Amino acid sequence: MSKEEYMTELKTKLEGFDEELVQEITADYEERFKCGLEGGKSEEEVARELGSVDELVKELNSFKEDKEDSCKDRKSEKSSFNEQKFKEDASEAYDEVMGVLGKVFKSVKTGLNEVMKSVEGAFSKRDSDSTSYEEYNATNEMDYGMPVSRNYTATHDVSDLNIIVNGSSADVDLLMCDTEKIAFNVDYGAHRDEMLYPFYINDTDSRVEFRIIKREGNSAFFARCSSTSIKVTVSVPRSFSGRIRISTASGDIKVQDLNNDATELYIDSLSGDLEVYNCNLSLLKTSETSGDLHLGGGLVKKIDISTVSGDVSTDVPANEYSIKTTSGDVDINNTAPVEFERSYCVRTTSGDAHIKVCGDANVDYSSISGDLSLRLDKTKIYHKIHVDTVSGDREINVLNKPAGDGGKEKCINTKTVSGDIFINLI
Amino acid sequence: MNSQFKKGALELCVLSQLKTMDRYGYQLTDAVSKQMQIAPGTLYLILKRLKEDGMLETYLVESDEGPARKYYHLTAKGKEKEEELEAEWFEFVKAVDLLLGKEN
Repeated sequence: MSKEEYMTELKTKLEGFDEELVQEITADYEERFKCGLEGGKSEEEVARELGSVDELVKELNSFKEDKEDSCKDRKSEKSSFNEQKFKEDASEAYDEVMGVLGKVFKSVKTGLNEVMKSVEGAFSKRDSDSTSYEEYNATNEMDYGMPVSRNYTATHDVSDLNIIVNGSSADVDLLMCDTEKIAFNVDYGAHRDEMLYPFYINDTDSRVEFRIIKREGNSAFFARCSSTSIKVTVSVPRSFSGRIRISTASGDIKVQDLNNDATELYIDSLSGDLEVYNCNLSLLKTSETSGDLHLGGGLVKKIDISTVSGDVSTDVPANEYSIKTTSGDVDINNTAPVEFERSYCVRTTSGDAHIKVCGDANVDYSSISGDLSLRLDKTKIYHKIHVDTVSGDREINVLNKPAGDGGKEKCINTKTVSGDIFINLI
Repeated sequence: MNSQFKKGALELCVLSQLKTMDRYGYQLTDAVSKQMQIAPGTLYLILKRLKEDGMLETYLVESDEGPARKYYHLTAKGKEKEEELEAEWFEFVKAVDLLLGKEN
């Protein structure tokens, strides 16, 4: 069968299936013919390899049976309308809808109950706990005569604690200090901000939650007059260990000098920039939309970064790097030698990556159009350099490879559709 | 092969192919149909289902050699599903192996 005959049969016999599906299948088969012909096969050979169209239709139908598929079924039913079957289907559908509705109602009801319970719980707790109630109130009171900075000092122990900071549009600085308790300090740049953005504390045994909530109502009008300039400083004692979660919408975040390597740091931000300096952590996990990210110094066991358009630059040594960006560029500079083996996993759509590593490393990079430049220095083991891009260029340099490595498997694996590859092994 | 069984396995194959990178349709069907006896077109039905269930997302990338290519991307939900299916798969294979006496 020639290509034309095959494709015509395919299109005819797939009539009635979902249009988008048919389009995808025909585009795929076109490409198969193209690749086959380029590889020296005849049209007949490719057609034979593709198998009979009837077989495909049979297979498609057999996969459809379990779940009625929209287009085809509706079409075929229209052509041979069967009242009895229609009634059966309708009553089945009715039962199904009622079943789902019942479930929805039930879950809404339990959800509401839970919300009510927690609200009641919060109220009763506030009433019984007079100190936190006062604190709560104090931050709520708007008084122009008061100083513009507000403080809160947490009361309890600092090991295995969760700190949650929700800064909204405020900048957040978190640093290690010679204090004994966790302290929050809010510096309002203007009186207006203090009025509009009160902060709340929820302080329990296992967690301290700090939250700035924009005040709703008439006063919110002022928020449109100018941008805010609020700065939250969180001081953490040296003995602290636990988990820290910081989130902001537009505020920048800066974290410094955390030194307990069991501590986990989670950061979420929309457009705020993030800086992390000299921190020893077990985990750093960030999720950003457009903010840039800079990591410098310290030591982190596992770094997990995801950003849409923010750039990432780091020189922090880590056992495991996982970076995912859409258009952000990635710059990793790990030229300071370390004892342990490291792994880098970088995924971008159009972001470029520059990776410089001294010592043993595994690198896994994939991108659609991002370029990669990779430099490995004094690397004995690189058993898994895997590079995969569609149109990006890449340049790989392996320098100063020490003689007599331990016989580990080595492999540089790169794949590209239209990019250039340059590999330099010295 | 039993179609339900095959369908489940194919879902896992497709999801796992997307775990490390986004691929477009032909890349996917080529990889799978090389290893398995299946009409490549069938996979598009599976891809469609997975997309409808929120396991996959698609985006178009212009191509020099013809129409724009539709790339498939694994969502967080899809990733979770993949891990779940993979674990189930290995457990299943282990059980079958045991029953067939291939493992002691």
